[in-house]
Amino acid sequence: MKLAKVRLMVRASLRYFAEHPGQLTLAVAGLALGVAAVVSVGAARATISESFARFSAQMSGRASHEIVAVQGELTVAEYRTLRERFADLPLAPVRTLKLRGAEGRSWDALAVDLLRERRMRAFTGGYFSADDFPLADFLGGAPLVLAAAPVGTRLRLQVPGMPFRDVTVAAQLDPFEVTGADRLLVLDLALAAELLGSGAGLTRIDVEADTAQAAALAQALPAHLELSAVDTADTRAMSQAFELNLTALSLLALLVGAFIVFNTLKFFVLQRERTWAFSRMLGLSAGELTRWIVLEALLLGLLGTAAGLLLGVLLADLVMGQMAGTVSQLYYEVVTREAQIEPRVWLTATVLGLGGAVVAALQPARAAARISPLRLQDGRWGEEDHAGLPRWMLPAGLLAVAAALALARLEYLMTALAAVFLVALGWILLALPAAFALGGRLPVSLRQHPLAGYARSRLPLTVSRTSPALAALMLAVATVVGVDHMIQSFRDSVAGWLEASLSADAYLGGADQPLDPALIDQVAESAGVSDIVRFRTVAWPGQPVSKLTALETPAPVRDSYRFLSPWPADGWDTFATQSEALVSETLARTLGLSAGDVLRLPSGRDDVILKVTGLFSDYRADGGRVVVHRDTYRRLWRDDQTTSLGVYFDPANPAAYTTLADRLEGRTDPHQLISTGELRRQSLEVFDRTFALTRGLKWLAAIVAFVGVLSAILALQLERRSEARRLRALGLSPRDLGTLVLLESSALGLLAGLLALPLGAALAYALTRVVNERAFGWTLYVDWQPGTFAFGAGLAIAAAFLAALPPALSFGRDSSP
Amino acid sequence: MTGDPAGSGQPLASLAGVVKRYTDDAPVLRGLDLTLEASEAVALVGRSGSGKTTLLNLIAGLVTPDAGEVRVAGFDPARASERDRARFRRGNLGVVFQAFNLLPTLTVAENLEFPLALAGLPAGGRARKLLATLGLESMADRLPTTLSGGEQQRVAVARALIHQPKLVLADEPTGNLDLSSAHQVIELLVDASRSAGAGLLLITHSSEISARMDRTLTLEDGVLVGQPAEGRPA
Repeated sequence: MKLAKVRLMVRASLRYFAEHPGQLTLAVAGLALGVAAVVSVGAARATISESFARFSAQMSGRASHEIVAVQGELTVAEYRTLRERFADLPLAPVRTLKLRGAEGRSWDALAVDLLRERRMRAFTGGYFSADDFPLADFLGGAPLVLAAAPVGTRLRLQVPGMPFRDVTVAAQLDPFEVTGADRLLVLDLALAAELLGSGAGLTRIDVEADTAQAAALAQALPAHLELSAVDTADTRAMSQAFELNLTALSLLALLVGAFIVFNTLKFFVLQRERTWAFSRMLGLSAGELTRWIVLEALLLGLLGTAAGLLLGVLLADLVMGQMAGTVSQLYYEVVTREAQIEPRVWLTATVLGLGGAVVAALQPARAAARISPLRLQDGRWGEEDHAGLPRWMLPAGLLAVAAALALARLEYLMTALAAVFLVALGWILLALPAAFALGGRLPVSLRQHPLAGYARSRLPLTVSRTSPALAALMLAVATVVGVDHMIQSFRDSVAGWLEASLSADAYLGGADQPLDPALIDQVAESAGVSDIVRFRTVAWPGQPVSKLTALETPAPVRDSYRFLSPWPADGWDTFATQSEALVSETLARTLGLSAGDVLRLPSGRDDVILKVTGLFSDYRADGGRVVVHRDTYRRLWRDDQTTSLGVYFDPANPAAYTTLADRLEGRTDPHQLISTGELRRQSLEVFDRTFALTRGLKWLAAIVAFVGVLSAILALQLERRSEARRLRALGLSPRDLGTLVLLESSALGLLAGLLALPLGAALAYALTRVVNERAFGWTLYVDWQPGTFAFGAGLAIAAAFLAALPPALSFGRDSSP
Repeated sequence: MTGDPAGSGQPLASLAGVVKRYTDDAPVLRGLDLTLEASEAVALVGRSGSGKTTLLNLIAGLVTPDAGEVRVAGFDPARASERDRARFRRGNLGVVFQAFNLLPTLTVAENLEFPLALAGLPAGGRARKLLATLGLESMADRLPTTLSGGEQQRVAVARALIHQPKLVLADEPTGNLDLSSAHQVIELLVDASRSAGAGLLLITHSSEISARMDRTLTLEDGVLVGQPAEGRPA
């Protein structure tokens, strides 16, 4: 288009926008909310990915493998032997330990050999060659540490139970570069040994090796040590599933935002039919008119996208805080900082915002292009002669639902999400014709109630004219119902599992070192303690079997397991005496295990072979678990240590917990006593925090849908100005016209609400049983809640009623016939 | 695409044997013949529903005949695409309606610039110059909604002439105006069309207005009766 023409078109459009600030604000706000959701979630995802990369690099550095003890201890002497034998392999010894400050503060400490670190981890190895770092003193075991505190800061530290030691900060860790820096201390292995007391071993040795080198190294290891590949993919996959949920919701918000732009443009196009007709008369071609409307959409898109990007920046910190908190608690530490939005996120949000606006403009633009200049002469402005929906809707809807059912059978997260999307799309395509058909059949006649009867007669036409907004409303209501069910079902499943699985009244544990047998006796003998159960947990981070728990199986423990596979009556008897194992559902999915399969696990000399006899529900986020009887573990692993205790109190002694807590007060070991009630409360708090943002985005989608309905109802009433004049001429009062609008809109809301409920139920089932199962590997049970369905239907009616209020009031105030 | 009858001896518009019906009922136009000469001002009168507006629409290329031939400035709208008909209108026709149909979000000057921009002609102060010639310069920067009906229609006349069309079609341009404003608008329309060398076909019910035209045609039962142009059929 020529510049002069475009300039005049832009000028005319901008003036028109300025004359309709309400509609303009709705469109810009709707689009802005969607773009802001995409920006803020995108920015938060980028930060989390960055944190994961740092977390991964910090945990493993360049390590491809790690050597750990599967029984007994990994000693410094063994490390030295390996270092001499494999001089050309980068080996880095690591000891992790918990330290406590004099003021009661806790630290996670990483004891390393800086000399070896320089080839393994950048964040610690960098100090080996730093000019102002006292390397010789550090390597010599001087009381120096790296911490997120100014150089020279003095700290008093102890390993719980051991004497305090004064140390000085030799270099400051950058909290933005080092994950979890505010509670991390890095020290030399020699200083760690001093703090721990003599004979302290290593947690692991990080190794950078290719396949051949790894095979040679594995051959050379003593029986109680094992070489395993470093793999953090599972952790990342879990976190990504959570992030994907939020991204999907942010895109949903954007989709609804595009609906609003669509409605607004439709409104704008209808209101200027005379302008378009006369422009066509002046020689404006249909193509030029289409491009004019698209140009207007771009202007709206620019405004909405710019506002959305700005809002996104403001929201990014909030969203990032929420997501980072959740990921930190569930998966790995995320360091947050001021939102830094990557160019990719800017670009995606801009393209989606502008693209959404342009796509939304296509139908109104085509409608404008169809306006004939002859309309200038017939005087029938803004009237639609016919009602109807495209015929392809029904078959397309059936096809989408069929495709969704086929995709849901595949065992992938992405196909599950695609199935959810197709179910929603398919149902909407089926529900609109259903609303169209039902609208005219509502049991209200003109004779019974003239206004309601007339409103009923107009419903099919209204459905066809507001179908995009109706679709948005149905989608929003279904999302509210589906997501609410998903969260509540998830919460109920987790709460039920916590209730059942935490059978003891209190637990003592939480540190990575075994419990002192004297402490165990002290607990057992405390007044009011009726029984104790010993647990031995071994962690293999990054492995499919991330934890092995050995336990005793008194009746309460037996009752705490929910089996997903048939469990024989004598199951617990053979479990205690045979080499049998129970596996968590997550592990069973990861390794494809089922009851009767064999599981091979590392132990001292040879691998241990266990028969899988049961699959149990487990909603822990730390990966796959294996449970064996304590006797089996003792026999096969030759290890009798205890890492945590379940404590049962005498119900007749209500002060038993306090008595035990008092008795354990002042001890120096790092284990903590926690009541089961507190443990459940903390777990559910983490859960609620996890889904706080999901709830927020769900409501955002609902609000945006409401704005869409409002805009559609406004546009509809504008279309019907001449009809309103005829009705006034027939004797309807302004108040009658207002009532008519309210009745019609409420009936529309009722139809949308009722038709959205089956989709809500389908989404609830799909999100709970399909998506979450694929994402987390957990079987969850849908907890159907009639209240949520009633709320969804009510939400649709209320949204439609409220959206009709402004035009109804406007009719009510209009005294001119 | 656009013919140039000036100096070619060809009429500005010619319709021969034109039949037009909208439904299966009797045709609105039944074998209508009409010739308009360049720069000629013609009044078209007739009862409501006699087909006056249909005739205008045929000439403007907004509808096509069921039978017969229409040629305007050498252009045959019936055989052209929608796009070409739009281009034909923007280059050759000016239109004035009973409703003023100014674009409400463009100023008076911009309303005049719009047809120029559509026709790809440079604005270059032409709009303001024309407004000054017509005595409307004080309105140049005002929006149409701030003008009286008479003022709006004078601006509409200016807009119809700004791109120097060959033919101006006016459909009851004074229907919404009081007597004094109607008089001013007709003066302007006739004088400005003449000085621009444009033909004028004007639908009216007023004998006073039709008396100001070169000739008057009456449409009755789908055919024209009245004063033929010199040496030509009606």
